Amino acid sequence: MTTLEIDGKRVEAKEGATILKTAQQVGIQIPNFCYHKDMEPYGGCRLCMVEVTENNFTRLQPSCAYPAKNNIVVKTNTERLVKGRKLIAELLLARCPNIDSVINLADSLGVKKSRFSPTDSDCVLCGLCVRVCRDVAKVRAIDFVGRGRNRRPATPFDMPSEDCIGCGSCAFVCPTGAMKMEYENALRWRKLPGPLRKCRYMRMGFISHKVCPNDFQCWNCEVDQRMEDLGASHPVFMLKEARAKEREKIGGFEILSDRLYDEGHIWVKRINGLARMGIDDFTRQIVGLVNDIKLPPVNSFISKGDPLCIISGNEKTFHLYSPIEGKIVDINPDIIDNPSLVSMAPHGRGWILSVEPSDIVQASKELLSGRSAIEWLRHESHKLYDFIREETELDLLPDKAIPPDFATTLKKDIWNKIDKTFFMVRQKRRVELHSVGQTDPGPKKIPDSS
Amino acid sequence: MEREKIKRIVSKHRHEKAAILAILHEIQEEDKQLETESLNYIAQLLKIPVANVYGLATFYSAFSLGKKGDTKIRVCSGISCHINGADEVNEALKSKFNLEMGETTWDEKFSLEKVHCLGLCSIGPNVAFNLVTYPKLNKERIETIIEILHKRTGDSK
Amino acid sequence: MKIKTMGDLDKLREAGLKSLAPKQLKISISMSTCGHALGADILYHELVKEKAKQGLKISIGQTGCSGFCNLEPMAVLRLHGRPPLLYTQVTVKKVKRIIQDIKRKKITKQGLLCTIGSDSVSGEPDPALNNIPDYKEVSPFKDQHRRLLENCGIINPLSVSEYVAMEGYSALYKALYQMDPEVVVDEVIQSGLRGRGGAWFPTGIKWDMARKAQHKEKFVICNADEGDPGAFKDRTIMEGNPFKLFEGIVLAGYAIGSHQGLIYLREEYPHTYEFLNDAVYTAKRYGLLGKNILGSNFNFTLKIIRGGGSYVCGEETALMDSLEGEMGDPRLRPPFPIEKGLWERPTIVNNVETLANIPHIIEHGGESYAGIGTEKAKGTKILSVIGKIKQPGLYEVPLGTNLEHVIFNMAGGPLNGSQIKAVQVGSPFGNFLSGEKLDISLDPETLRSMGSMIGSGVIVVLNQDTCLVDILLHTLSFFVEESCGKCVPCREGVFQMKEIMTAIYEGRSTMEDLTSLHDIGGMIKDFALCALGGGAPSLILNGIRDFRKDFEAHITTGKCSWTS
Ligand SMILES: Cc1cc2nc3c(=O)[nH]c(=O)nc-3n(C[C@H](O)[C@H](O)[C@H](O)COP(=O)(O)O)c2cc1C
Ligand code: SF4
Ligand code: FES
Repeated sequence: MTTLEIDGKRVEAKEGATILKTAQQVGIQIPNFCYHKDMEPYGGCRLCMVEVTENNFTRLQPSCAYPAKNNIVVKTNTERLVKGRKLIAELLLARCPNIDSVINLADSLGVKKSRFSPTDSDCVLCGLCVRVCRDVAKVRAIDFVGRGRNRRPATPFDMPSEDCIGCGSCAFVCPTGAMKMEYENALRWRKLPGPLRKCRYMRMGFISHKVCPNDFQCWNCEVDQRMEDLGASHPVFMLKEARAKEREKIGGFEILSDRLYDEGHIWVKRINGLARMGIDDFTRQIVGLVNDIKLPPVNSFISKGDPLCIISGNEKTFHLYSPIEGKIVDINPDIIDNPSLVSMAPHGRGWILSVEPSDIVQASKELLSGRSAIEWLRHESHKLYDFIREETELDLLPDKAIPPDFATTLKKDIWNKIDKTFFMVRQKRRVELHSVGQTDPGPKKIPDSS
Repeated sequence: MEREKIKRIVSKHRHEKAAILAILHEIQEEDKQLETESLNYIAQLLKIPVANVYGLATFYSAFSLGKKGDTKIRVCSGISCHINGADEVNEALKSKFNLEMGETTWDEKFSLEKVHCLGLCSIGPNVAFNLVTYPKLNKERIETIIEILHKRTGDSK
Repeated sequence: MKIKTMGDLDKLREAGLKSLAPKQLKISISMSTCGHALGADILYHELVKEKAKQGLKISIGQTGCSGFCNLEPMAVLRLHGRPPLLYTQVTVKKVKRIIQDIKRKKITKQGLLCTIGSDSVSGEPDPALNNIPDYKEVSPFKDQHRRLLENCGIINPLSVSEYVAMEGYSALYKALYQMDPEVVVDEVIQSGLRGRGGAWFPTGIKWDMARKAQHKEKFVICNADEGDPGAFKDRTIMEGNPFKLFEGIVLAGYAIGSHQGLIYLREEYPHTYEFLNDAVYTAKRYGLLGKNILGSNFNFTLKIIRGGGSYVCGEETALMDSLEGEMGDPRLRPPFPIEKGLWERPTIVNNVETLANIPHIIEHGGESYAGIGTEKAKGTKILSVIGKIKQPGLYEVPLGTNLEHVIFNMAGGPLNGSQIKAVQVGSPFGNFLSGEKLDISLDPETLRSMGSMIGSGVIVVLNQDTCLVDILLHTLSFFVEESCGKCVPCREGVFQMKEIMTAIYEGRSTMEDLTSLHDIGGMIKDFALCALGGGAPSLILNGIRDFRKDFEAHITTGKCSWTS
C-alpha cells in the first residue's frame, strides 16, 4: 500500500494514482486547467504544481502527472506555490482577457487584473481538444500548428477536415469556447447527398449504420438523447472501452490492443493468471486456411522456445514456438475437431492453448504491447513485403490483403526461408509434435541440430 | 511535386512514420516548399492523419509551406555574430533584396531567413547561401557578394 | 576489407603510420565546414590541377577542423624524416610558393605556425626547423590538454587506418574481447565522467541503470543537436575525428546491451550530414559497424538522423519525440528515458563530447582518466571561446582550469586591447560575470555555487562597448523563438519578460518593471516544464543585479553611452 503525506495528512493512495487524484479523494483541491480526468496528463498549464519532498530533496512537480509514491511529503499551498499560481493566472489573463473561464480562474486565485501586455486570444492552449481528438476519439482531425507563441490548435490547412467524425468532443472539452468544429462540420455535412450523411454516432463507432434523418440537428434526435443519457460526460469517453477491443490494421495486419505479442507471431492474453495463446493475423494471412494442427499434450511442461504448434495449410507447414514457459493446462477443444477455426478467428475462438506460466510478470515484460507491438508489426510487414519483392515474382502491396492461396504459390526453398525468418525466431530445440486426436506417445526429444 | 516522386521518396524510407522528417526534408529540398497536395499525399501513403504531417511542417523551422527561393539565404544571428555586427549585414541584405526575414523575392530566386547559429562563430558574421557560407562579413563585403550573385542569376530586385 | 583480428588491426596501423609519415611530400588541407567557408575546396582543386600540370611528385590529402576556424584554411605538410608542419591561412599563392621552396630544398617560414610533435621523429633535427616551435608551445595550442581533439586537424578524418595508427579502435577491441559489459560500465563509473551536454549527469550511472533495464531492444542516442549558439565543439569532433565518436557509441551500445544507435544531427550542419554518412559507410566497410564488429559476435547499427531546426529538440525527451516523427515537445518525467525512451524502450541519450571520451577511458582505465580535473568533475572540457576575443576557438583544458588563464593567456585576451566588460560562461543559460571577477575555476560546482552553470562550455567575451541590455534582449528573443509552446510559464512568461526588456531597451519603462521581471522570473524558474524555460530567467535577473548601470541608463535615457 502506498501512503504519503499531503498537507500534513497521511493519505493512502491507489496503485498508479497521481498526486492530484489522491488529493481529490481526501477533499484537497489543487487548481488545474489542462487536466481532464479521462485523459492522460499533459502538464502544460503548470497550475497544479505542488512541492514534493522525496529523499530529503524538495522540488516542484505537476501533481496531475506525478505519481503518488510511498512516503513522500506533498505540500499544495505554500507561499511559493500561491505566488507562482497567481503569476500564471496573470499570464493567462493577459493572453485571454475576455474569456469567462479564465477570468473566473484568476478570480478564484485572487487575481483581478494583469500587469502584462495583453493580447486578445480565445485559446489558452491547454491542448485538451487536440488530445481528446487524438487519444480518445483516435481521429486526429485537429492538431497543434506552429511552435511557441504561434502555436494554435487547427485542422490541416485551416480547411474543414476530411478525417473529422464530428463527435464534437473537442468543443465539449474546450474550457474557453474557442473550438467551433462541431458546428462547422454540421454545415458541411448538410450539403452531402443522402447516403453519405452518416450519423455522427456511426462515425464514432457506436452504431453500425445510420443515416441522419434530422439534417444534423442532433438536439432534435432521440439517438443523441439516448447517448447523452448513457454517460455523464461526452459519449466519446465511453469509446475507451469499446476501443480497447477494437482491431487496428498495421501494414495490412490486424493487431489487438488487449493482447501481448511475441516476435514469433504468437499472441498472449492474460486470463485469470493463465496465459492464453494463439496465432496472429500475420500468420493467418500467410497460411491461408489451416487444415491440420499438431500440438503438445495437455499437462506437459513447455519452455521458452519449445514448439507450441505446427500448423499446415495450403500444402505448407508452419512452426510456431512458445514465448512463455509453463504448464499446458488447456487446449482449445474446438480446434481439435475443426482446425480451420484457427485461421477463421485467430484472435478469438481459434485460440490454441492456455499455459500456467512460471512467471507471468517477467514473461509479459518481454512481450510486445501497445506502441511497441505496433512498431514491431509495421516492421515485420515491411520485412515481408521487401522479401516478397526480392525473392518472388509476386507484386503485393501492404494496402491489399494477401491472397488466400499465397502459400501454395511459393517454392519450397522460399517457403523455408519465410518460415525461418518470421516464425522460427524463438526456436530453441526441436520436439516432435503429433496431430491432435491421435494417441499421444509424449514428446520425444531430438538433439539440437539447428 | 509529382505524386510519383513522392511515392518513390516515401517507399525509399519504407513507409515508416519515424522517417517523416527525412521525407519532408527531401521534398522541401527539391520543391523548395511543402505544398498542400504533397502533405496530403504523404499522409495517405504513410497512413497517418494529415493533421500530424501539417503540424510537423509548421513546427520545424526547416520546412515551409510557402515557396522558398532557389537560393536560400540564411543569416546567422547567434550571439557571436550578433556581437560582431550581424545586424548591419542583416539590414544590408534586407534593403538590397527589399525583403523581410522569412520572405521570398517575387521571382522566387532568393529567400531570406534567420538561423540561430551556423557553428562558425570564430569567423562571423556569417551568411549561408544554400550550402556555401560566406564568413567575416560586413556591409561592404555583403554588398559585393550580392552584386556578384545578381550578375550570375539575372536581376532580382 | 573487414577487420576481424588483432592482426588485421596491426596491419591497418602500419598502413596508417605510413600514410602519416609518407615517403614523398604530402599536403593535407583542412576541409571541414569552416575550411569550405574560407575557400579550402578551391585551394584543394587548384592544388590537384597544379600537380597534374607540373607533374609534381606530391600527394594531396585532407584533414578536419582543429577548432580554430579563423586560422583556416590550414595545411599540414609532411616531408620524409621531418615532423609535420602546420601552415595557417593558406592561399593558392602561398601553397605554390611552399612547393617551389621545397623543390629548392627550403622551408617556407611565412604562414608556418608550428611543427606537430617534433619529438616523434628520430634522427638528426633539421637545422632549418631550429626556430620553429612545436604546437604544444605555441598559441593557441599551448596549455591545452587535447584528449578529444588530439587528432582533429591532424589526421584524415575519413581514414580508418590513420585513426587506428593514433590508437584508435584498440579500446573497442579490448572491450569486445576482454571485458564484460558490466566491467565497461564500471570503468565509466570509476572515471567519474559526467555528461557534457549541459546537465552534467554522471554517465556511468545512467549507463548502469540502462544496462539493468529489462528489455531486449534498447537504444543509444547521440545528441548532436548542438543548439547552443556559440557551440561548435560537437561539429569539430564529428568532422575532425568521426570514428572516435563511432567507437564511443559502439562501446555505449556494448555496455548497455543495445544494438541500435542514432545520431540526431542538427539541421544547420548540411556538410556534416553528408560527411557523417560517408564515415558510416566507411566504418561499415571495415566491419566497425554492422554485423560482427571487429570479428566478435556483437552487432550494432548506426543511423544519422537530421533534425528540423528547433532548439528544444536538443532536450532529450523532445529529441525522442522528434525521432518518432512528432513535434518536439518535452515529455513529463517519470517515466525517464532509461525506462521508457524512444518507442518506449530503454534509451540513453549522450552528448557527442561525452561519447568521444569513452575510448580513452576504456583504453587507459577509469582511474587514469580521473587523474585530471577537480574533485567532482573529471577529465577535460572543450571550451568554445568566442566574442570579442583575439583568438576565438576551441580550447580543451582540464576541468578546474582558471577562467582568467584561458581568456588572457590562451585566447590572447580581449580584441584590440580593449577592456573586458563581461564574460558569459555556459551560454545561453549561464550568467554574465563581471570582467573584474574572472579568477574562478571552470568546473560545474564552482559555477553552480555562483548561481550559474558551465553548460556545454560556451564562453562569450564582451568588451567595454557592448551593452548588456542589448545582449540580454537578444538572448531572450532566442528563447521566445525557440520555446515549444507547451507550458504556460515559458510560452507566456518568457515572452512577457521579453516585452518588458524591449520596453527597457527602448526607454519606455520605469524602475518598477525591474520588480515585475523579478517576480515573473522567479516563478518561471520553478514552474517551467523543461530547462529551456526554467533556465531563461536566471541570466536576466543576475544581469539586472550585476550590470544595473546599463539598465538604469536605458530606463532613464533610452540608450546607453557605451554603445557605438
Ligand atoms: C533546451 C535544451 C537544449 C539542449 N540542447 C542540447 C544539445 O544541443 N546538445 C546536447 O548534447 N544536449 C542538449 N541538451 C541536454 C540534453 O537534454 C541532455 O541532457 C544531454 O543530451 C544528455 O547527454 P549528456 O549526459 O552526455 O550530457 C539540451 C537541454 C535542453 C533543456
Ligand atoms: S519550458 Fe518552454 S520549451 Fe520547455 S516545455 Fe515549456 S514551453 Fe516548451
Ligand atoms: S493541470 Fe497539471 S499542468 Fe495543467
